[in-house]
Amino acid sequence: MEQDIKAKIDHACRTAEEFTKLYYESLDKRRYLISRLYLDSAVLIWNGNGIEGKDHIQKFWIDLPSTNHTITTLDAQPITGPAVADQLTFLVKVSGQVKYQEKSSKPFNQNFLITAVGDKWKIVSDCFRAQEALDNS
Amino acid sequence: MPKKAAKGRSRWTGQTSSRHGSPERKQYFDHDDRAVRGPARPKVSFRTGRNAKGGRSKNLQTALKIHLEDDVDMSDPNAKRIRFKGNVGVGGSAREGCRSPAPSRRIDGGGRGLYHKKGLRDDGGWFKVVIPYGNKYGKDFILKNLLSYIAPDPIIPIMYKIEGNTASFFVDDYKTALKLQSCDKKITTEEGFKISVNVLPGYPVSNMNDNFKERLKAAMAKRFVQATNALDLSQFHREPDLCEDYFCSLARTAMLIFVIDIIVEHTPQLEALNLDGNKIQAIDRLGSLLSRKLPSIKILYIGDNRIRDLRDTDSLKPLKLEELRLAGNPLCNKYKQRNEDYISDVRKRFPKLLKLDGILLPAPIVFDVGDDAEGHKLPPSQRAFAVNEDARQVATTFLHQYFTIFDNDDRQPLLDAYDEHASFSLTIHFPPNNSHRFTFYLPENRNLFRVNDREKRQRLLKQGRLPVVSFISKMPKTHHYLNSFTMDLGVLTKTMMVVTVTGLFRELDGDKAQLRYFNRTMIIVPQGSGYCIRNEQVHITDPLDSQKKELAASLPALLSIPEETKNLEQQQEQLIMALRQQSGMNTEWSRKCLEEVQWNFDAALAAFRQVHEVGQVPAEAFQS
Repeated sequence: MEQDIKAKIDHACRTAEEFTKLYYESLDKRRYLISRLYLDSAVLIWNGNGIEGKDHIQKFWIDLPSTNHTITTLDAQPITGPAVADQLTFLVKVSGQVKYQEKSSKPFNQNFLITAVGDKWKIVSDCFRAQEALDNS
Repeated sequence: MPKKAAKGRSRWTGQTSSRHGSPERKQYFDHDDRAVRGPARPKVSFRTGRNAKGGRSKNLQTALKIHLEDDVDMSDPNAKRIRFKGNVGVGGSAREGCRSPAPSRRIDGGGRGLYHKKGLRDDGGWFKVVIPYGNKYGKDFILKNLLSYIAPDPIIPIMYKIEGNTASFFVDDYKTALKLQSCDKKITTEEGFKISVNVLPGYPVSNMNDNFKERLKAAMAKRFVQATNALDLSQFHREPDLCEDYFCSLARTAMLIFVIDIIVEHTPQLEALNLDGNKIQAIDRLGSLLSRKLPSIKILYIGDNRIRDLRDTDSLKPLKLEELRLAGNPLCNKYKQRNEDYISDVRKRFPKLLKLDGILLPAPIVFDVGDDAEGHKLPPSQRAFAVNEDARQVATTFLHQYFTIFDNDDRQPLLDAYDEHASFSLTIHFPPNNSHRFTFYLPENRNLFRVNDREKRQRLLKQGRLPVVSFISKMPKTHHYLNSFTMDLGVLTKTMMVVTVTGLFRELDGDKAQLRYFNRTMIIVPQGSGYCIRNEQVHITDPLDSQKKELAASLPALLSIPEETKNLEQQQEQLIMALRQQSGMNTEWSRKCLEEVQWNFDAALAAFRQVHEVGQVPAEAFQS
């Protein structure tokens, strides 16, 4: 059991490294393909704006100005227990800087719930938050 | 306002405006045609004429000398005092330039001999005209004579006033200043005295009180043309309704903000703004103000100002300008003979521009790549999102409890908030050379880019309820600012929900009281009748300056809550003390008694007496 957990932690870390590399490359350079990474019923929350479903997510990303992400931290955990049953699922957290078009870069955090569907990893939920001051109005 | 545009239909004045047709007003726009009459001779030295009363004060002589000469004997306390006084409100003077928005004026000494000190520089600044003994002659007499001397040019005296026996006013124009300087001792009074006129660089100050705001609003309303949705604030410091009493220079940021706020208040959808001839230099500030507060502006005149570089106009880019006037700014000198470059450099910044400096631009031919400005906008950020309203309430309640306990000295009760098999990990990000401000978190930073060792990755992932809560208990004591929070709830199934919370907190340990920004993701699962955390990832970093500012702005409201509680506690303590004295009960029972009657002292005392009379108060209530 303990060995099993350790293996899952290793797996989560390696998958997270590979996943984030692919994800941000797609987002910055091949955005038209980004929806392939999402589950059909995935949810994207972008700065508090919720977008549900793979197709809507694809459209949302296409409409966003071009981006350039630089990642500075990465963390990953396996999710176990009755919450996911036997479904292999990882929680991934990223922080870094994002640049929109030529504008100055903003720090951001993003976390993903990714799960194995057959032989592919798919995003179940994707939550992006820029670090910024928000009006209280 | 350029004369060309003033002809025919004028966006700024409309057809019926009375200001429009006034010849006096027109003159204001004509300063470019003025020729300097007479040599701009720097005044040699100051010698007072015969004083009207015959005897002239030595102090005054010193004072006036000091106005004009640099080599003041600073050991003379009299001279010092007067000199200083003379500079009050004249921040732009050669020696005290710090209060002026203009760059400090170094006097050009070349070829001016001994008396170069009095040389005026054409740096676009302001000038103070000082007339000693001006109090004797009256404003009309002085202005009429000065005007006739420098005719046909006009004088627009700003803030004419008498201080002691000196009259003074300000002018905004170098040529006028030079001419006024040459009026020195040219005007003879009826008594045969020659009036001295001294001109020096100077910058007035005026207060922005309520009365001023009302007059300012009235003057602005007069300059607004509803039909074209245009506001003409050209040469605003010369506004005849204001300039006698106030110095309304839009070159001063405070005044600019004040004026823009009034516009926002009354015509937030303003489309055309004329700021020609206002000596504005800090265009980047103006740009950020306009694009934030008046985003509808399509026509902007900022000609005849002091903008030095086209790059300075970058801050105006967010405005979708269709017409722009830049002519008359120093930046245009760089493009002499290079008109094509000028147009193309301006267009790079304002691709939608149709008219520049009054000239229609040929339509540019572009590639059809879609409209980035229209189609690719960042959606505005929202504070919270939840896939489901019920789940939002569950999560809000859960997090409220969680952070209340987290901010307590004792975090052990959080054992109930974590699943038996909970996992917890932390990452931090800090600016280079700032690790000392993150010493607690540093050894726990599970950044997989840095931690490559398999064993260490395992170790830094806290697993199980006890290890997690014991680590959390060791984290610095905190105060979380709930009003800075955001919450996103993305996944909701029968077995779990994923919540991401961000916000600011202050560390209460140590003397630094660091403010931090956090982003925590929790996987929350149902357990028994409640919920607990199965997985958690925390990221901690520095807040941005903008976040600090916003927090500071919201703090008074926040602080009032603990303050009230504190007062309440003090009041309760006093009531308990009083009841103890009256009833003889101990603190604990006095408190109980007061609590039962919602802290109404009379009711508590009455209740005590009633029960005491029938001997029903237990003995322990009186034990100390």
